Amino acid sequence: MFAPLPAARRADAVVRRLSEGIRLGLLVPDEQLPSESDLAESFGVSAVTVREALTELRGQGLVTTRRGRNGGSFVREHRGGASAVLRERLREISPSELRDLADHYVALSGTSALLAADRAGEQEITLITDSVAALERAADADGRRRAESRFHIELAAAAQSPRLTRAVIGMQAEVGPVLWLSAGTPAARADVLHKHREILAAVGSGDGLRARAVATAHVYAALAWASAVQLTLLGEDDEVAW
Amino acid sequence: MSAVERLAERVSRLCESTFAAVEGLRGVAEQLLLPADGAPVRRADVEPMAAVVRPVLEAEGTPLVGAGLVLAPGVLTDAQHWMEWWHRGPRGDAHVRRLRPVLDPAAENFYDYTVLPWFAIPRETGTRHVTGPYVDWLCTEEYTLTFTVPLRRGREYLGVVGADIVNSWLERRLLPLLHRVGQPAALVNAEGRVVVANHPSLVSGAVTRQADVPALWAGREVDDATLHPLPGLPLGVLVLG
Repeated sequence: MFAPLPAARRADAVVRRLSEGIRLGLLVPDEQLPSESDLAESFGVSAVTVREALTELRGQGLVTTRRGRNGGSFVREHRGGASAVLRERLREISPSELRDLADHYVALSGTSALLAADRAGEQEITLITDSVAALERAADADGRRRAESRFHIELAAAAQSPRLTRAVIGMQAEVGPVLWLSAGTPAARADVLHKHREILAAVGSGDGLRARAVATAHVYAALAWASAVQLTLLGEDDEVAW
Repeated sequence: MSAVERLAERVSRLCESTFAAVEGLRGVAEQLLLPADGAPVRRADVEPMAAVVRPVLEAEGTPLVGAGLVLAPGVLTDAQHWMEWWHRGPRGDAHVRRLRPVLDPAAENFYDYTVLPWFAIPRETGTRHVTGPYVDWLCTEEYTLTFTVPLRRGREYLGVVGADIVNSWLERRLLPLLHRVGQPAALVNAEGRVVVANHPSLVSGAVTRQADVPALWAGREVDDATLHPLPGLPLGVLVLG
């Protein structure tokens, strides 16, 4: 959540990170945000950038600023949540961009699974198992999205590759709201859980090719659900003038 | 002195110098956690850790990329879980920043460090531990070794003080010595994971399959492989052939 951001469009990136955190419930109503200087330090941006981002978030009605001794920026009550985030993101990207996002992610996730099967130790297996249990327990779309992200990060870490892990973490902000929020029906959710268990079993038994195959199928199943939602959304739009 | 002995001595020296830095933090942490008047300890009481940790991480040429204090649940009266952990920025950024994981157990993304080996093993064994190498995706974002020392009040476990180094730092310093070992050789941890090796068949980060390392750690003889455990460290030099 508070990891450093790349240089490009820093204020926008801070706005996006915080607004998604708020709308997905990572930051809850009335929660106080860290101070401007703490936010600047966490994100690796200047205090001016943070101030700019907070102004924008106030404009969007997501945070409010209180003055005085116990003052600061606080998360406001809001409507929307996971499904609004999914729809908004699916409107921003085209079908081919969505497909490309899944392709890129499969390269990371599939390879993580392949290598994890060879390299995971007892500790890594325990952490992956915990993340599957967290997915099973998750009570809402957002909890599932978090557990899903964690599963993929643990898989990459079990592959013993900091580069893969950083790349997987770096993509969660993009793939999370799209791929991990798209399993809307109970059948889709059961399928996701089943795939996680299959990947875990393959990693645990050292079967890298199977782990990669299931990880690949898992991402493309999520792509298929996201595509279905996206095509409905974009199909309902008025024709774009040209 | 044989090449293996020289290597083992070098590893020990590098690890002991890291533990020496951690012991320095322990002295301060104990003063903060065990006040003479026995008063309850709060978050504000352990804040002075920053003043000791930051200079350690900012020191010119230090291999330490992260360090601090991590407390067992219930040690502080105003926080169930707490840590004062600082780290340098990713990939060579010298700016030291505080680690801010989610420490509220009710939160979905709660960072439950109590199950992680760098915290759990010193609690179980009562002694210091070297965890890794592992991908520390929360803090260093690098392939990392974490050195931790338990803090106690009598028999009560209070938590750990510790420090991180990046695996590549150790690799660079050991390769010339490893090279002088005539046979394929590697520094391995207790599960047989390769820290650094002198032969491409021993892949850094992989658990070696060329020899039954757990059996060697248990003191059993294995064909075509010997293990030289390092005193007081969960690391050993594995030599094949």
